[in-house]
Amino acid sequence: MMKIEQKRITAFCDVLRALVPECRLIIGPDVLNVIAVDTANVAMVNINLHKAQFEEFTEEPGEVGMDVVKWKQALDIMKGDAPVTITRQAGKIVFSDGLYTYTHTPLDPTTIRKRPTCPTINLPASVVIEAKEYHDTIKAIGVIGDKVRVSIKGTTLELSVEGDTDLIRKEIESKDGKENAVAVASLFSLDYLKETAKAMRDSGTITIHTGKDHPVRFDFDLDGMEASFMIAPRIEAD
Amino acid sequence: MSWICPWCGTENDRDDRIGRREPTCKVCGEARTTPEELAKLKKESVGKLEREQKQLNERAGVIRGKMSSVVDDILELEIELSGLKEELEDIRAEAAPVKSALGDWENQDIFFEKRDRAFIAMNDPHQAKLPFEVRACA
Repeated sequence: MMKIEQKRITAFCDVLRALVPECRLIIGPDVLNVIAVDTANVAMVNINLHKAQFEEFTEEPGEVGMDVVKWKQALDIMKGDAPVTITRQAGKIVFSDGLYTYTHTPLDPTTIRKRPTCPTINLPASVVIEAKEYHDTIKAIGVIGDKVRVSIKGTTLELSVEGDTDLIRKEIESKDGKENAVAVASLFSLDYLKETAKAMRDSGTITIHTGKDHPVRFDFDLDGMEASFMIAPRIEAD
Repeated sequence: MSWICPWCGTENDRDDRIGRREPTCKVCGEARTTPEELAKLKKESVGKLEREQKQLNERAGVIRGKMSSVVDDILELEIELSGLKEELEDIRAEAAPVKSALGDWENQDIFFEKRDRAFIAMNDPHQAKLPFEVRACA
């Protein structure tokens, strides 16, 4: 059985939902973990919800086919402050907040895409910025185009979008003041940045790592839940 | 002494003058005058009235000319109005299908397909994939 504050498990689902509708949920001895890539293999999520975040964590280790949409639906029904208990009973998953009991048949894990291996890529530049400022910027600059250039130079992150006739950009200073030795820039699909930015909005600060024509990785912490998104770039030059 | 009224030919018996005023005819009430004076007055009056009549005829002629011109204008305008009415009917007939088509388009609902970022990414030749591999030449 797992007993956890509803807002924590909802946040866990929201992060996953930004990229995947279903995934393999690994129940470890002291952590819930998901590593999944989206349908197009463009974005990856890696999230860990540690035992410390639970009020009770006695579930046996194993693998569950998680239908993220259904989990979210079940949690949306239980709109109270009471903690939610999640238990596996005879192949079903039972959600309960003391008032409602939602029994859900999980997906067969073998029908879901295998967990990818996290690529070990050297991303030489990084900045630490406010998640809300990043979210608001992505939302604002997306009005004129659908490709965002993410650049890091010195201590500054620059986000820019170039449309057919217009250009919009915003510079955000890194909170950690770390000077990056190399200037880097990569181009990304706005659709992915927008969805992930929305999921990270309430995380306080996020650390953005990237390189020149390399993926971008967002590391963030949502109330003790460690997560990261990685998004592959668009590479237009031959 | 009796006298003959030159206006009506009545013989008036008496010639009662009152003060310096001439007597009047008992039938027509006209003052006594001589036939010569009346003939002169007649000639003058006829001449004056003929001149007035001529002037009035001339004015009437001008007015008739104007009326004729206005009537011609009215006829022309009526013909033009009739043509415009026909043209308006033609345009109304032409506008009916346009109005109908406009209504159809205004009532046409549009159902947008949800933007599928994965589909877009898979069809984007420049989009790299994960796990990301650094190109050999990089």
